[in-house]
Amino acid sequence: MSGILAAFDTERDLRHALERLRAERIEALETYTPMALDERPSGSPLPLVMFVAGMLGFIGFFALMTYADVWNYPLNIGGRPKFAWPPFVPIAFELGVLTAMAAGFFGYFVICRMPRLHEPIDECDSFREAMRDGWFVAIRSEEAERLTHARAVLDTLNPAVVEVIP
Amino acid sequence: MSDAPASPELALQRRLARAGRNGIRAPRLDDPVLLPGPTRASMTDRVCAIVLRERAFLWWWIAFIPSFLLFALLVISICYLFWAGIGIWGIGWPVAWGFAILSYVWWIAIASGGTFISALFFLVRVEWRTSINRVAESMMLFGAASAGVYPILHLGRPWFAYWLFFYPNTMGLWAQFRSPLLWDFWALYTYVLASVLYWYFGLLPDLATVRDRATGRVRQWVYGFFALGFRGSDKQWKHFHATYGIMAAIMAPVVVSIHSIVGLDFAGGATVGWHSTEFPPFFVFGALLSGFAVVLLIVIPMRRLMRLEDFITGRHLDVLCKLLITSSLLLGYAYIMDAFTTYYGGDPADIRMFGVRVHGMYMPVYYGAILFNILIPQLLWIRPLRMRQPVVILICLGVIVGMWLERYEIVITSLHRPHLPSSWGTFHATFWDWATLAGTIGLFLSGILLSLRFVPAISMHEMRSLIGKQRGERAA
Repeated sequence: MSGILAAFDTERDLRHALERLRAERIEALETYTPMALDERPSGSPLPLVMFVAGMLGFIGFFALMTYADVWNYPLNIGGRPKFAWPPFVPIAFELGVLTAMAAGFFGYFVICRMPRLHEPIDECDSFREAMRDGWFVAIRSEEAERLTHARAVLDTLNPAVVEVIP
Repeated sequence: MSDAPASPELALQRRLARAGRNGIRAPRLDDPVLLPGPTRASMTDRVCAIVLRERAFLWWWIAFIPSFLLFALLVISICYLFWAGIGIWGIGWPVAWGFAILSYVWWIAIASGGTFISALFFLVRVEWRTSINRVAESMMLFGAASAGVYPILHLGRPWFAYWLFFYPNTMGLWAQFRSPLLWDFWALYTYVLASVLYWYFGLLPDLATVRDRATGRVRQWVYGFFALGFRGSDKQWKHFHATYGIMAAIMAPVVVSIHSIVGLDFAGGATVGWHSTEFPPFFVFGALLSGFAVVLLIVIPMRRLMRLEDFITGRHLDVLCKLLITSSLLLGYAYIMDAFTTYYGGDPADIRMFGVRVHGMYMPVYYGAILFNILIPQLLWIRPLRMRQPVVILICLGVIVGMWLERYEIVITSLHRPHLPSSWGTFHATFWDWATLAGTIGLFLSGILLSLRFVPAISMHEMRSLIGKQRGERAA
């Protein structure tokens, strides 16, 4: 037994339960819900990661084009300056965008430690409702005492299902 | 789950009950974004049931088989093209850009409209986006794919396509970074790749839902694989929303940039009729118009055939029709400016070429574009007409044809009258031009139909949030 999983019928019940569980100082709570409990999240580093990656992509490709046209193989086109930078902007912008998107996409999997195709929690029968209309909270702990305590608190909260995570 | 409905909702429910819930419900102007009735659970079951049907609908096969045959025609056309070279097309001198470029521009415009709906309207948080953003994104994906095949085909020597990349080579050469044609290469492939990432990322939670609802082993495995272990944990949701929001914020300017750069492909050439700073916005307006038209063309049959009347209501048709009028007027402004700058600018070659459009051989193309893109869509000012689905479909089909004519006019009439009269010429499309065009239509339709069959047609996780908001459950 590595933890317990409790399902609630509504979002409101889950929120209420979370308040109670936190008040009882039960730690290591993880919710599983069909939609985000908070859709305007704060504290994710990914927007910053995407911004930095995008800027690096922009600067990097701009620098590469500058190197190519100014130093590596300068071309005199109608006497225009070697460092004709405005035409470099579109490609640098596009590739900056591409690096930002890729950083966000792959960064998400790194931060969330995905893909993880199987987890012990998948063995719980009720868990299939989590992406439909089930509002779950999982309490993971190696100590049996903590889990017994958590279970006692959960039982007062009238959950739809309580299961043991194998 | 079922809170007591507010009184207008109750009235609507009574009306629906009178109309009979099983019958097909006609859209109405006063429809809300979401009809009362579906709950989060029933909506999920409804959408998943379509994806998880054992056998596809009959209408699906009827639509898919011809589409797939057209796609096969594309494969044949490409094989023959690679075998014989681009001489099989009608292009030559002076019309060196033919169907490949005009169809490329046409497709990328259609794709752009999908991104516009999905990304821009996400940023402004409009509620009606939720029902149609998945369709709009699929449209963007397959529109971009249909566009994406053309530049390579048009290269003439497609095996040298890799010369466009940055890479150290024994020739010691770089690509020409100052050319809009190279910008276009990067803009297009950025757009295609970014679209794939954006589409797939937004799809993850829904793939997870399908995985959990699937019964067969194969489906569980396949959807489970592609859901990549999304389980709806608070951590996954938190980073998901943060990332998705930024992705949308990136996609909105990208879509403007891609079509502006396509415009610059033309504006950058000193060709008669092209050399104008007006081109980037002109192209973006056209992209919006054709994008909205194709979204309507997909949404209207889908709503009925897949019984999604609860989610795609009269409100959606109304909004999309209004957007169609808006973009049509914007494009009308661009047409007027195109004519104005030609005559005001006073370049004899420009005026001569424009004359061929206005009262010469290419007259039907020019007036066809004005008729289909500007005049006919104005019918949608009449409110009841926006709810007449066959009329809207016909207008949208007209717009699609009109947009193609506009591209024809820009690419071909401009090229056929260069500065030097001795170089004048004409263009005649060959069988292979038409076959490639029809083939990309097959590619697009096959892709859309496959995505309707195997991918949830409505973004379920966003719809759950909308259902919650409609019921006032998120007040806490």
